[in-house]
Amino acid sequence: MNPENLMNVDAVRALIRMAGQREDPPAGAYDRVWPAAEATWLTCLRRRRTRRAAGWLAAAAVVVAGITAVIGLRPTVQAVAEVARLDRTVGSLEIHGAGGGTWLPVDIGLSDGLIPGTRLRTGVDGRAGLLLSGEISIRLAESSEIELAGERRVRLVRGIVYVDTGPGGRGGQVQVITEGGTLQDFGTQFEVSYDDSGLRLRVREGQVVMAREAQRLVAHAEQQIAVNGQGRISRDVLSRSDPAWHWVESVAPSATTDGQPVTVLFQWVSRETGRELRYADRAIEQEAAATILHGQLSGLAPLETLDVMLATTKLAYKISDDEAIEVVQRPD
Amino acid sequence: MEDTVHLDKAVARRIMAGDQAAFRSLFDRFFPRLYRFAIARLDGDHDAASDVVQQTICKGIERLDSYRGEAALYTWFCQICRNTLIDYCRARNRETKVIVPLEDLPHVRAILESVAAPVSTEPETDAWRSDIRRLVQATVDALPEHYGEVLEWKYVEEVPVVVIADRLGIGEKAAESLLTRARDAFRGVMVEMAGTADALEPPRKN
Repeated sequence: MNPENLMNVDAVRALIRMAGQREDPPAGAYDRVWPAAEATWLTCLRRRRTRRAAGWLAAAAVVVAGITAVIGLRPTVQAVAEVARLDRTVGSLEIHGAGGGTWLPVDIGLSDGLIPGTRLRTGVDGRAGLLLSGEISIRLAESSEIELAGERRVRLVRGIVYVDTGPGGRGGQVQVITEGGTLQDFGTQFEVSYDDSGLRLRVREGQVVMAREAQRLVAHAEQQIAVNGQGRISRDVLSRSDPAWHWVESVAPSATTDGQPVTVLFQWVSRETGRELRYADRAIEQEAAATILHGQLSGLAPLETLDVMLATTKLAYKISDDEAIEVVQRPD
Repeated sequence: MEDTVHLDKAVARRIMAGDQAAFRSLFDRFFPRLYRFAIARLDGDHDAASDVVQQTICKGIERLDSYRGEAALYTWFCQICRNTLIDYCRARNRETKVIVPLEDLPHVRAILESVAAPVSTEPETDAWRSDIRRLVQATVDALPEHYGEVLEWKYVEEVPVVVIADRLGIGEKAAESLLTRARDAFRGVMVEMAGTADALEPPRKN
């Protein structure tokens, strides 16, 4: 038998057809492996950059020792892409670096950006707020763990994460990946919870698509979708100002107030608390637009911020019977 | 094959220089193939396959500095994967299948005979044909970029060349030329594996 004769086009066709289509890895395998691979690559780049910088520094030191003129040297290795930074913490928070290591307590003074593959977990008393590119706010509730899977991609390992992509979703889209499904927003505020009991999505504002197995489930503002461990789906409603949302206020990013009219502060508080904003009358609204704030506060919850900042103005607020924020004239 | 290695070295250089697109492309191309490579040796254990492939890709990236073009980049990753599999199974006191996959044997002459082999209801023959099928797929996996895809499109999906050209965003003549090169590459590998000694024969009836 001459192998060459047999390996004509017909033989090739027959073999390929007999073998059939190659199977793709199961859904989820890619999402599981990619973040670690990317994190390893970025860590390697960072190490190369550090080695090159050290090498150049050593070379520069030799040159300086030999002659008086200094030649500036610029490493050309591309900077590692950082995808998030820590904004606020409450209680205990630990961090696990990309590419290996152990869990370490986080120092709120942490100023470095966070790279893909980095993991964060809150304790039973902990919460955390992160900022992704585009000023997207990601907030962790107690006993929750996430992994930064890439630019605007977060893996929720367990617990609860809240996402705010800004008014109208201006910060861009975010993907939250869980073992139970992947969630993609179309603006702008939503919460995902994942643990042994199942996957739950709550949308405060905008629209979110939950992709799991062959399904795509859509939840709109003030809707909730829950999928239990057996795959049973249930839907419910949840108003924007429901107390279930209150936890996110404690790790909200601070409002920019310095040099801004009070109306901006009121809009921020309305968005963070989910409460409707009303002005007692047109004159009050004009007063708010004309009053400029000075100074910047951080570390306070939205209503606390309002209390402090309004103290220096002629305005005050009250919570109405239907839980709205009503702006009024400050009593004398 | 020399052209492939030359391209592979260029890809490795770009990845080490921080080219995100090059890294993404490498991952997208290699991940499914390495996954199939691993799962064939892990008795269908998907969790284990994910673990092994993750470790393989991470190790490969960490060692990419040392890649000198001694083999195609995919082959280089496969070797890392083999070693990772051994370590993985050892660490878990895992019993591996004693039978070595066909694609690891130096000669497989019986592949050619399988083309004309009648369909059999014998379990032994079914198992053997399953091994051949996997060997062919592993060969397709080992081919350079797009070769495997065009062979599957043409001979499994029976897609016309004009549609293949459209999928790849190239002209029809370029698609025909690519298909010819893919067939030649596949044929070359198969012929090399077919030898006159130590061939794995299909099971004989007693």
